[in-house]
Amino acid sequence: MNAADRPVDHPGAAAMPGGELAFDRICHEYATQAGCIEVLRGVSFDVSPGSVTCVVGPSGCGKSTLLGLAAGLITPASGEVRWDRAPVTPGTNLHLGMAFQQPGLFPWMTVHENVAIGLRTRGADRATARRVADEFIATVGLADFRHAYPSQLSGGMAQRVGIARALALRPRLLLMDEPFAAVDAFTRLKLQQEFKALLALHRPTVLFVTHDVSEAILLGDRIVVMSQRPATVLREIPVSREDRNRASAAYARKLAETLECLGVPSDGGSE
Amino acid sequence: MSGASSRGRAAVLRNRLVLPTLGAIVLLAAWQATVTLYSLPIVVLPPPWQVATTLVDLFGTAAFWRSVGVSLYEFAGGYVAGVLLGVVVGLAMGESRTIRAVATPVVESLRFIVPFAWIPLTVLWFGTSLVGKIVLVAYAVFFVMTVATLRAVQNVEPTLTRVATMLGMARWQRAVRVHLRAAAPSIASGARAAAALGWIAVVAAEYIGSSAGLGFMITNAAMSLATGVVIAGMIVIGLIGAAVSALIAWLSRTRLAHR
Amino acid sequence: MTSGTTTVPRWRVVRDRRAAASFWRREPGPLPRLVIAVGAVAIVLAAWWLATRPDGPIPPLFLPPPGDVAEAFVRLLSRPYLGNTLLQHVGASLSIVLGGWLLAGVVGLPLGIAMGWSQRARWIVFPVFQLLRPVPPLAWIPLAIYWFGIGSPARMFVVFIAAVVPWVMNAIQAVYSIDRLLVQAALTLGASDRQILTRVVCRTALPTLVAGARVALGNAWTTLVAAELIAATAGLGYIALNASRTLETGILLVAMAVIGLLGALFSSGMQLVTRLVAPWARDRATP
Repeated sequence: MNAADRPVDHPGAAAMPGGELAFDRICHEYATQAGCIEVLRGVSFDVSPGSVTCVVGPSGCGKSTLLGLAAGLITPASGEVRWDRAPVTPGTNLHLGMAFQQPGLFPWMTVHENVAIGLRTRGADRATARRVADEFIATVGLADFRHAYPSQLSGGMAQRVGIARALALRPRLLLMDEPFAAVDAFTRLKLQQEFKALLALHRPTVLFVTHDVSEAILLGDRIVVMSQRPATVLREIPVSREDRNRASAAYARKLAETLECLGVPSDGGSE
Repeated sequence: MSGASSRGRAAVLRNRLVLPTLGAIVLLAAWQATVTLYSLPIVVLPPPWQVATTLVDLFGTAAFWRSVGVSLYEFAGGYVAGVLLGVVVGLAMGESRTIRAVATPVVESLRFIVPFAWIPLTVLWFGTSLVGKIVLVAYAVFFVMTVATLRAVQNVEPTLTRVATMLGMARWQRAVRVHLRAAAPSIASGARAAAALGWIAVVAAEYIGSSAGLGFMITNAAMSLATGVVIAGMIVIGLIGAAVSALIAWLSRTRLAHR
Repeated sequence: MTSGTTTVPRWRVVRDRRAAASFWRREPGPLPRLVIAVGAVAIVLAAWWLATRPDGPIPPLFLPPPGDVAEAFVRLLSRPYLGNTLLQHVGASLSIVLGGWLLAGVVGLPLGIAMGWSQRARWIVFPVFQLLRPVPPLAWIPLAIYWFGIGSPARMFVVFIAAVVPWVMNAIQAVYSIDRLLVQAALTLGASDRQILTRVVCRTALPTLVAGARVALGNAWTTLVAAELIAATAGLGYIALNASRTLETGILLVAMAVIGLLGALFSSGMQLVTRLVAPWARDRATP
């Protein structure tokens, strides 16, 4: 993929490298019938430009909320989320692409149309949108299903379309909400490799939420470990290249460290 | 397995063809039996074959088709107006908190005044003209569609809204291209209910204050004791209502289905 | 030191609950809603009053001023109009509606349950049912007038037809919706057929049945109003029609308002019943 392939009018195409995402003392709560549930308390961390930060933590601890905050879909109760040193504006933000936990495909559009619509909305012309959409659909391995409807896809396939849709936007900030969770293990490994390759090509800033610690080690430059609700940052664990080699002792150590932090004993617990 | 599919086909055949025919036969037989057993005069309940011949005769009369045309015209005009207005208002209410807050008390209070209750008022205001019927149908359909659209739009999966925002759609773009489109099947079934209501509203209005149309024709026939025409008219009313409903169902299935 | 912490007030937190991107889709609190509702009604009343002033654009025959309508209301309460006071007319309407509705339930509920339970019954009755259904209940009115003359029986007949359909259809649906597993569980526990019917079937099917009753009542009320316009000697529709013919628009509007009020009462009444009888059910009725 070279410069000529980028959608010409694509607003994000101008400054391709990722920017800095910063969470500054974020507190957030949800109001429910039972009262206010505090979800995040004093969460602060930065994601440096072009790096991949993986967030791991127990389910329900507010990892998805972090993504919503970063996208401007949610406004924090207190604290600030900053992108490129400026506070994130609520509502539409064109610098980012997001893959949600539910694929969220438009059921009345084909796979191809679903991927292309984002490009069209952001100003790409029809031909370019079509070409880029085809490219990314092929990347996630669904070229044969370009004209299928979401109801005809399995959950994992729909999820992949969602990922293709986010990636096709060539965003400077990529937000991923457990995108490979619903896929079988083998496909997940394949997708992880492809994802890494894509990231290597144009280095967006990535905030990646996952429950799979080994996936976090494989994909992330850094792991942020979150606590139970109300969530705070327990630890930020850097990941180096040696750690990614699954056969290495470094990997085992990194895995153990992260699991320990999450409260999972690394010796498998009592038998 | 051929056994399963032939069983399936037999079931479909049974449901679509055999049972309705059986039902029709039972109905006609009961009808004829009632007439003969109680020696009912034709004025009270004509036998089936007589109604059938009346129906055929009617189909050959220009006046009949004119009446049907008038009624359909009144219905179509009011229906289209009511659907368009209702969807627009319902969508606006779904999208904007302010509009919803302001419009809800008005909609809720007027909604309960049954459409038929407006007939005397429309007769007062518009006389027996076509316009009155069109307004009545539009009114009835409007409220059904507004409520249906509002509910459908509010029930759109929240993820789709987030996706649309993320992709960069502006607020009203999102409202029309995503919310409205996602809510379309529900809105369409509301449209079917609205069609049934609108059609019967036309007929009822014509019973009461009209100088043309199917309802008027039936009222006239009733006054001249032509019971055969009355029953034939009922059948035609039912047929047209069913046809309109089926048309809308077909349209929504082929155009709007999420496939 | 980074730029200061922005503390966001509580009402914004409550707004964020939906996590929907658009600010405009969030609900105002109950107090603002009440204020707006009252305000909207007040504005409508004011516009009405302004438009119907003696020198205003709308002639009183067309739309009387609010004062006249209030007067007509009071008058109807005390003095008989067309033979009955307002309350008596309301009573006449109510008796037909409720009578027809209950009768439809008495006939339709067992019929529907039988049709849902036994395939034989369904094969025989259902096709006839489906054939008669497209004919709207109102279309039966001229025939009903023939058979019963103008008066209560004709209206009751039409209301019955209108109400019986939802009773039957929902009863069938209710029986269908019974989870077979529950029935089997009851069987293994030694329940008889009759016990299964009353305990398992009725309990789980109750919400759908109540929903059917709701729709039936709505249909009955709608049809009654129309029937009273055509074939009545008393009742709200009768008043309305006569008032329109004698150009007593005030009375007409009172009748319409009372019709709307009763409709609203029926609707909330049925909602209350639903919540009492089957509080675990969500609203499954199509209005």
